[in-house]
Amino acid sequence: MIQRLMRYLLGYCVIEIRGLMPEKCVNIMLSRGVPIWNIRRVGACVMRACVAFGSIHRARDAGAASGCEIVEKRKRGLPYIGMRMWRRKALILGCLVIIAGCVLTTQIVWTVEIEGADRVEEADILRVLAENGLTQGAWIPDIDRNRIEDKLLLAMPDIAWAGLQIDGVNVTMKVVEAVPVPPVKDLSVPRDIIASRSGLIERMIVLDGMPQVQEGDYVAKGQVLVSGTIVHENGVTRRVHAMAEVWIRTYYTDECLIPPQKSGLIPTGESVKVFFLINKEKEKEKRITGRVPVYALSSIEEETIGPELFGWRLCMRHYLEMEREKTDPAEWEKTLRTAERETYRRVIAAIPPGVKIIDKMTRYDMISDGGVRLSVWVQVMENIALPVDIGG
Amino acid sequence: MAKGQGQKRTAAFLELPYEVVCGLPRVTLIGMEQMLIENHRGIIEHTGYRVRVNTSIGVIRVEGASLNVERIGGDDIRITGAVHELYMPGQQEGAGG
Repeated sequence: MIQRLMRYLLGYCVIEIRGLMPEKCVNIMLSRGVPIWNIRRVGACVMRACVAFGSIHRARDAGAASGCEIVEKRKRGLPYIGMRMWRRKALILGCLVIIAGCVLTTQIVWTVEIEGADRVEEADILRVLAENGLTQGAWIPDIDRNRIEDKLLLAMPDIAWAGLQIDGVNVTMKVVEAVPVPPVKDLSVPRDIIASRSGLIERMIVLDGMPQVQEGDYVAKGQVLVSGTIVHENGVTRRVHAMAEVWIRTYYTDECLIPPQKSGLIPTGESVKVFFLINKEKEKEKRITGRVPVYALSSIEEETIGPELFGWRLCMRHYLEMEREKTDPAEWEKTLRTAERETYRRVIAAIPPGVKIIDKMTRYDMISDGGVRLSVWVQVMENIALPVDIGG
Repeated sequence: MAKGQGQKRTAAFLELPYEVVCGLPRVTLIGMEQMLIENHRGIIEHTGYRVRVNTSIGVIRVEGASLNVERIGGDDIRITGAVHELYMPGQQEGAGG
């Protein structure tokens, strides 16, 4: 295998030795150092063999010396392919250009992306990177990761860590933003903690101050939960900066009315015509023919027949039995789900940040006109501790 | 003393390979499919069923089917194919095989 591969790489020529004594030709080739192999008889006066690339002229000389004719049958191997390709210079040039293009285009930055920037503007990071040579079209081997990361950290104090990742032609700058330093609390100002909302206390953590309520108590909005005024047994009063977390279990709710999908009435086909004599001045009416039907839902059409005589006129009343138009259950279900989603979204939007959502409940109530009242309750755990400075 | 006898004694005394010192052919048969003849002096005849190789002790004849000279160098010949009979120099026609 390796020998065949080497022969292919070095190149060889398949020749035919034609003559009365091809063996003699082979012996002369051997004596002249012509590499020859795979000798086989293919005819009475013809032998076929392989000679190495570059030995064909010596093989011809050997053939001439032995009175044989050397005929080249096939040329194989890389040198011959190279010689064939060398004649097609435009093709070689095109291949070289394509290879060079591929190499060059994989050595420049195509995209620069930023990951992890929420508070910091990506445009600012890109500007700093561009100032340090990292932008679209930058030469990748020239990118100094450590230097760019250091420069970015120095230029933008809001970034705590930066890591440059190069994936092929895409460059990603991963950043971790610095946690903002919380403002320093002035603990010298005495204050109370009051309830910002009514509810049942579920959990209470008092860090400083005198608790006025305990877990399980129901508190109203504005009620003092933790007092910043501490009265000692010896009568000394001390005012502190009360700090506490008071969590209550409460609900946020909202509702919406869903009108009936189709409130129209349609006739069932049942109808009765009844004739009346009506006197509008005396507010009297007298049924002449027919019986007034009893329909759950009906429509009445009244029509006056003939002229009015002595205040009386003849009327025909057409009683039509009606029924509610049927609704499409799938469409109705879709309407309900959409309304529920929208109501839930409104409730969530009304919940202040920092509140933990525990549960959700939805209730549908049918109302008289065929519509539905949709109510959504969202059960939450909310910290209702509201600090209020104590005056004086 | 003949020249060959002196070479044999020298090879035996120096413990050298006999065929190297004396220039004798060395024939290696691998199964019935490959044959290696070292210290040859050229091909005399090569057909698909017979190969005759000249050596210092005479002509070695190989008969078989689909015989090819897979490799030939200045010192060795590798013959492949189905080797049926091998005739050494001086061997009679009926005694081979």
